Amino acid sequence: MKRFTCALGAAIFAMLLTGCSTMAPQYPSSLDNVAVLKKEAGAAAKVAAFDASPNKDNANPISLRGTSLNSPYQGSYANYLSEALKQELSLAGKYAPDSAIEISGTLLKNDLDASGFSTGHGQIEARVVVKNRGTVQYDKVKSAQYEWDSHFVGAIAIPNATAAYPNLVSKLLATLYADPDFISTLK
Amino acid sequence: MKLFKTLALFAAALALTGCAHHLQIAPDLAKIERPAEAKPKIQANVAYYINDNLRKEEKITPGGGGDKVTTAPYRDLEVGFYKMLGNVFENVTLLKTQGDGNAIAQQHIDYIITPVVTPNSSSSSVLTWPPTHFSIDLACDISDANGKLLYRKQVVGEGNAEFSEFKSDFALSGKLAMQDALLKMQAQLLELPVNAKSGAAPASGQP
Repeated sequence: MKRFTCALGAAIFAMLLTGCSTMAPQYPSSLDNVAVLKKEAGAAAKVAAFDASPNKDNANPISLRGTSLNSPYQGSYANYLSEALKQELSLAGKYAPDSAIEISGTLLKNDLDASGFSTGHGQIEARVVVKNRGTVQYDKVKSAQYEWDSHFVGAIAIPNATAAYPNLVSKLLATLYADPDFISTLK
Repeated sequence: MKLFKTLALFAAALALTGCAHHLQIAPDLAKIERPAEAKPKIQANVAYYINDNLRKEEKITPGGGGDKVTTAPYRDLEVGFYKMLGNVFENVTLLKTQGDGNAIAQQHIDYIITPVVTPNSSSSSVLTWPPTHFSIDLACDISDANGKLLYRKQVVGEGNAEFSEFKSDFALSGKLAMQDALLKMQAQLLELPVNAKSGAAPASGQP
């Protein structure tokens, strides 16, 4: 009986700490970001495909306590970032597929750490390039970090980390829109 | 050993009871479009207001097999609602506080729209938990810049998804219901008898 109780306890404990493969939420635009674009950006831009730099900080899929977190945009987090940018420009009325201003970029870092029992951490970094009629107007690396409440139980920690991913992307874009050099390329 | 048994029982209880399944029911924004034959945009500046507590509010409704689902209806409504209002009115502003006098004056707000959203769900399946049917009750109170209620519009969005459809997206019926509610509300708002800009009074309407 002792052995059975131990085995049952261990199995359930393992179940609580792990999970299964899951999908990151689609990007829900930040209306605060949209308001900034609407107010500050004068001209509309188009968004080109973003690349992802292959390195250990640029996870795809992201691992959350053994659970794989996949991007809902063709399995690519570079696509996630470009779609998020496109969505916010569209909502602000500043997206035009035929614009001479083109925003492109490379995802350099992208990871969530859900191993902590009380706090989770995320980091993202991207190089953003803005060209006007082919001439580079802006070329900078932007980064953001995000923290959220975590838990020792995987069934709580993993959904919390999953829900945090769009906030990390939103924070990166807010950093980009707050850069006067970026905004000046949209005048 | 007693402590271990207690922990094992606690863990078993946690594992067996579980929580309601969380679903995100924000609609596909690409589907929230103006119909090609729609009337021109109403030349008015509108603002909308959603209380921060409502954005965080979660609602629990039935799923299949005796399970329940949890949604955050205001959080999932908001971006689509913003886009829908932009399809109807010339300019849309988000108010940070109710009756934000500065924003109302600076943006020359003509109308303030306050949404009320209530989700409901059900399932015809006893074997799977995702809802096969979702409904979204969406009401909009439309007031003038002084807060006087001018109109109240109400629609019910419906969404259905069978196993073959929702197996790749458990929230599908909810997303379709949210989309349906927004498009129905868009149709109602496009018919509002208003075309005033910056303070002009609307035509008479039924609150």
